[in-house]
Amino acid sequence: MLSRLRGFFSNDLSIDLGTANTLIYMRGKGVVLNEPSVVAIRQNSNHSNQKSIAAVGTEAKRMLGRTPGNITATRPLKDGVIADFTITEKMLQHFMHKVHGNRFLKPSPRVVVCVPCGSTQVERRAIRESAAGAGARDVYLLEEPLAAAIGAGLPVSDASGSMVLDIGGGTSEVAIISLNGIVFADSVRIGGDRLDDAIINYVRRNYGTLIGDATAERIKHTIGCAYPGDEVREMEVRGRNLAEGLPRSFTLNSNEILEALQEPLSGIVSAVKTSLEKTPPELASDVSERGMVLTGGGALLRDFDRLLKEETGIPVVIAEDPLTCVARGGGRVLELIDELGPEVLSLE
Amino acid sequence: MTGPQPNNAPDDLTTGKKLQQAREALQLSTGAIARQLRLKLDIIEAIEADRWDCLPPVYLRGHIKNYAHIVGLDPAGLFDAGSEIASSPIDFQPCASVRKSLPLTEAQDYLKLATYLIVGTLGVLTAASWRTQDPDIPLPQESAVITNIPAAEPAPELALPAAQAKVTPEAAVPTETPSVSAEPLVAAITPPEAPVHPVIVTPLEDIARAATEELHRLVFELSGDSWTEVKDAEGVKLYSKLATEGQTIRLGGRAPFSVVLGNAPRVAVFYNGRLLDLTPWSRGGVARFKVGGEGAGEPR
Repeated sequence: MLSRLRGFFSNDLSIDLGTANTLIYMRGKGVVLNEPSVVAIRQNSNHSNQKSIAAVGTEAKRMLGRTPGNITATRPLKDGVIADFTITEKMLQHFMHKVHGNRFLKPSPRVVVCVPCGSTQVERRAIRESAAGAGARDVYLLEEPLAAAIGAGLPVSDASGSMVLDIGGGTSEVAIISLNGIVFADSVRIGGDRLDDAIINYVRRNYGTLIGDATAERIKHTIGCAYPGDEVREMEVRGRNLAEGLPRSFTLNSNEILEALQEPLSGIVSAVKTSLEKTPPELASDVSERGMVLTGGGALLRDFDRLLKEETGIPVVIAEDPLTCVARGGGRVLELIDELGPEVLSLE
Repeated sequence: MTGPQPNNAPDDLTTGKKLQQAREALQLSTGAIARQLRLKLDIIEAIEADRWDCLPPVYLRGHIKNYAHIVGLDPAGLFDAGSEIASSPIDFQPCASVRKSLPLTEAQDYLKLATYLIVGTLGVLTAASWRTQDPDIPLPQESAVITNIPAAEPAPELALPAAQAKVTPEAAVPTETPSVSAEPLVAAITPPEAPVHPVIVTPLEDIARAATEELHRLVFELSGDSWTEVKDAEGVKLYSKLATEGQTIRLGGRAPFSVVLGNAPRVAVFYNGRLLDLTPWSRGGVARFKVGGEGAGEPR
C-alpha cells in the first residue's frame, strides 16, 4: 500500500544493469544516469567487521586499483550477472535515489531490468530480488538483445528477421528477432572485460610489463581495432616491468592490439556464425538483405563492423548511440506496459 | 594506400546525389560499392536515387554512413535535419496479433459472462416449466421431506443450532421416509399450542454424524428477567438475548456449555435434569460458568 503511494512520487525506470556500466532511463527524461558498475567498500577500523559504502559509480571507478587497505573497489557484476548480491542491491539503491533526487519519500518505481538471454533462472531471480530490495515496486525482466533491438529502432514488430549483436562489458548477445520475439539467441561470456584481459595478457607476455584494468581499457579505446586498417596508430603506455619491478613506459601500436584481441573477437564472430547457421532460412534471407545491427560498447571498437562484414558476408551497421540502446529499448517497453499491460512482450 | 579524404559536397544536393557525385569522383561503380557494403545493387541505386523506402530507416542510415565512409564523405553532413531518415524515433509497436488480441480478451470475458447468464437462465426456465407441467412428480430435495407426525414432547422453546438441529434421543420419532426409517433421528421443536409439527428428516451423512455425538440438555427457568447467553462446545451461540420472567428456555447441544447469566439468583438452571447451584460462580449477580463435559462446573 505504502509502496503504491510512494509509486505516485516515483518515475518508472529502465535499467541496463551491465557488467561495466549501469544505465538508467527515466520515462519522459531519457537516459539520466550512465555510471560504471563499481562500488567502493570501506572496512571501518573502529568497529569490528563493519563495512560501509565509500563510493559508487564514477567516483568508485576512479578508486579501482588505487585503494588503500581499508577500501576495496569491486565490480558487483560479472559476466552480465550478479556476483555479489548485497553490493548490487546497494548500488542499485544508490542509483535509484540519485535519479529521483532528494525527495521526502523513498522512491518506489516500476522497473524494467535488462538481463542477458543466457542467464539462468537463479541469476534472473537474483537480479529481480536485488532490484526489489533496492526499492522497486514492480520488477520486469527483459532480455537484453530484444531491448537493444527496440532501442536501436529495428523493426522488431514486423514479420521479418532483424539481427542484433549486443556487445556488453561481460557478455555478447546475438539474437534474431521477429514479431516482437526472439527466434534464436545466443550469449557468449565474452565482452569488453575479456578484451581488456586480452590486452593485459598480451602486454605481460610480449613486454614483460604489468598494466592495470584501467590502462588496458584506455588502450582499447584509443588504439584498439578489430580489422587491419590503413592507418597504424600508436600510444605510449606505462606499466610495472616484471623483471625490474620498476615502472617503465613503452609504445604500443594498433596492429599489436589487433593481434591481442584476435582470440576474444573470434569467439564473438563464432557465436554470430552459429546464430546465422541456426536461423530459419526466411529470416536468414531478411538478415542477409538488410544486415546486422551492432549495439553496446563493443560496437565502438574500431572496424569491428568491418570484421563481421568480412567474416559473415552480410551487411553490418552500427546503431546510433549504441551504448544506450538497451536502456532506451527498456524505456520504450515501459511505455508499452502502461498502454497494454506487462504481457505485451512476455515479460517475466 | 591512403583512404579517401572527406570532402565537402555542395549543400543544395540531396544525400543520394552527394554520394553519387563522390563515388563518381573516385571512379567507382555502384557494383564496387555494393560489394564493399555486401548490399544488393538495387539498394545502392535506391540510396543514390533518394528512395528511402527500400530499407527500414535504421539500416538505411547505417548503410549510408558506411557508403559515405567509403567515398570519403563526412556522414554527419549527409542528413538534412528535416529529412525522414535523419532521425527515427523508436517506433516499436506491439505486433498486429497482440493489438488485436487485447480487445478480444476483454470481449472474451463479456462473452463468457453472457454465455453463463444465458445458460443459467435457460436452466432456470427449464426447471420452472418442468415443475409446472408435472406437479405430481415429487421435487428432488436433499433434506426436506415433510410429514405430519405428533410431537414427541411438548416444548415451549427448544432452540438448537442450525448445524446441530438434528437429534435428541428422546425426541426421535420414526418417519415415513424409507431411507431413514431404520435409524430415526429427528429434531422436533413443538410448542404446546402446536400439536402437529413438520418433521425435518436429515440427510444420511448428518444422521451418521449426529449419531456419534452425545447431546446434552440445559434448561433455564426464570423467575425474573435475565440476560442469558449460552454457547456450546464449538463456540456456537445457542441463545443470546434477554429472557423474560416466567420463561423456560430449553437448549440442547454438545457439552461443555459456556453460560453467562445476568440476574443469576432469579434463574434456576438444570443440566440434564440436575439443578445446578450457581452461588460459587456468581459475582455481582452475574454468573459465568461452564457446565457439562470436561471442566464442567468451573467458572469461566
